[in-house]
Amino acid sequence: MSIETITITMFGSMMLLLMLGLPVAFSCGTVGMVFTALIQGPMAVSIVPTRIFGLMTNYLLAAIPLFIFMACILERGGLIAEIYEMVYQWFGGLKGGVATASVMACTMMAAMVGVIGASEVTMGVIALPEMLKRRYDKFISTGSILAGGTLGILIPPSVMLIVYGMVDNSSIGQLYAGAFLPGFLLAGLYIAYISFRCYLNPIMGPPIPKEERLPLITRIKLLFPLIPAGILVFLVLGTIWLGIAAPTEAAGVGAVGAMIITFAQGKLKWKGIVEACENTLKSSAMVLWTMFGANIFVAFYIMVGGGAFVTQLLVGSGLDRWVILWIMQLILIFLGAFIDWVGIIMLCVPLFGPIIRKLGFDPIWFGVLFAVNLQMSFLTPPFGYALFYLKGVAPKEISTTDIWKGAAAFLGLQFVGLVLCMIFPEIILVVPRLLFRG
Amino acid sequence: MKALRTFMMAVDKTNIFIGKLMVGVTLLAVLVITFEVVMRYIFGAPTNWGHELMTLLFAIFYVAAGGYAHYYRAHVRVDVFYATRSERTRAILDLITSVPFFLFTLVLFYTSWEFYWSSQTMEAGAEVLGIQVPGERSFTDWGPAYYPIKFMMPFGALMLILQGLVWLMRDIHLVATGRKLS
Repeated sequence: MSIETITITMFGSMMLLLMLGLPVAFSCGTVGMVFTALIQGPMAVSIVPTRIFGLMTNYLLAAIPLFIFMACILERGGLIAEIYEMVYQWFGGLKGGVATASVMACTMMAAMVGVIGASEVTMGVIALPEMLKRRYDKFISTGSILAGGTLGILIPPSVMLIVYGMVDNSSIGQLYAGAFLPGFLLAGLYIAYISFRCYLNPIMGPPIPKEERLPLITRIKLLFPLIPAGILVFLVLGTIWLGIAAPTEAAGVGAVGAMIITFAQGKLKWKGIVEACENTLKSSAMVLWTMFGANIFVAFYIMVGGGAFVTQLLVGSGLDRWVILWIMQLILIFLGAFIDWVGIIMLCVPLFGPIIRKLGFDPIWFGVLFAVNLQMSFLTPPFGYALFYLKGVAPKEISTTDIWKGAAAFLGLQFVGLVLCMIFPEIILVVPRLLFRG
Repeated sequence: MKALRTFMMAVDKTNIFIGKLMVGVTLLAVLVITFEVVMRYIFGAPTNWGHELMTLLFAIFYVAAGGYAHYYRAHVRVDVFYATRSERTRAILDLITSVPFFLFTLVLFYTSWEFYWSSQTMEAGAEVLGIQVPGERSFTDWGPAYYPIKFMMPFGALMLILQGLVWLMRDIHLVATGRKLS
């Protein structure tokens, strides 16, 4: 079979199985196994357990359950709600203040958690009803939470960048440093957009009435419970950037730190810990099994020359390197609407990584760009995690269509953010240069 | 029919029980990495087993939980066409895709059993109390036995197959009668 035929039949049959509703892990895994057996003979399939064993005993990947656990504990301990309450009191007086506060609270949480679920669900439960009660525009309300919560997986510590770094063999510390400014850039864009809309038309997001605002002293008091959380952020991110601890160790410190903080404040019961563990188990098993399946698929495809084929197709086309970069971004946006981020990273990074190096782009820059791009995948229907999470907890009067429409404007902002990061690579590269190459 | 019901209950319960065990494994892994970090950065006396033990605990945790995640339907799908169908249509789709599912899991079970067995029976074993014990060990300083970890792979595949069978029975029942099996 020629590589063209292999490419078409492999991707075609995988797409078919995915459409029929077979989970990503099993769709990729089956197709990978069947093609291995057909082309390299049944004996070749015995390589599969070796590959899976390599992934499951990977030291870096152990940071995934640790970071997920940390997020679950902070969620159970009510820290997300506390941060929201604090920001809400400080900034609620602005026009569109509650939506702005939601984005800010999500951004702060994003520096503590590496996934999106925890913020998305908590904010959907507290901030969304609050905004609806104050007659905020439905689309601004849902959109601000959708986009804000998604920052969790971009701003370090980020589980996505761990998987990316592992697959691409690039430094997770540098990727974390690179993702910092783009994360804040996106948050800034969201806030600017909300304020702009609400100052033009205050009905969309009225400020909190004066009589409901707390005096300055009370507001300052709200800051104190958050000091331990700030220290936790330093312990996790600071140790990675100063090169003191490996990401996995930092994740371990974060997991224990989160338990200590919530426990000391008396907000964590044994039941909460067990629930946090169970959620960690479900999410991590899902991520890892998807990695197993996708790895079987892509490792075979590269072994039979798929990598060289794709490189030849793109680089050999004679197109300008920026055009090739754009083609990749469009492929990612398209895939993001259908497949979850783990699958996309596992399938695309082994193919794109070598091309990026061949074209002379900075691999760290591309990695962060990849993560900024995948921000959109959480908001693009039909398959967007953020949409599911918010729909799961939103009040009844909010329909799925409302959530999709709310996502639309913020998707546009994410795209603007992506373009800015491409035009001005410094947004991504300045922090890693400062921390690692200075 | 009663036997089938008992089987389904037993599989569900076993996977839930494995989940409960893995809750303990999670906490243990967190404790191990904490101990390691404290020893290394506060006492300057790192262990030679902390990182490896934690990694291996998580390795068990991922593969053993395959069936548990399948019980909760937590394995992520592409919801383009599937999610908008009626429950019965979805059951029919599941019946169709159960063919590749069982193909994958059975091959995984068979190959990983071989993988485990060759590790279990490997000659290069360690000496315990002066007696040569077979079985593959890790090449690190600490050198823990690898075969119990590798055993978890066919075990995880088996639990996934069993959970898949339970879903298959539920789907057949739904397609045949139009009612969900309680």
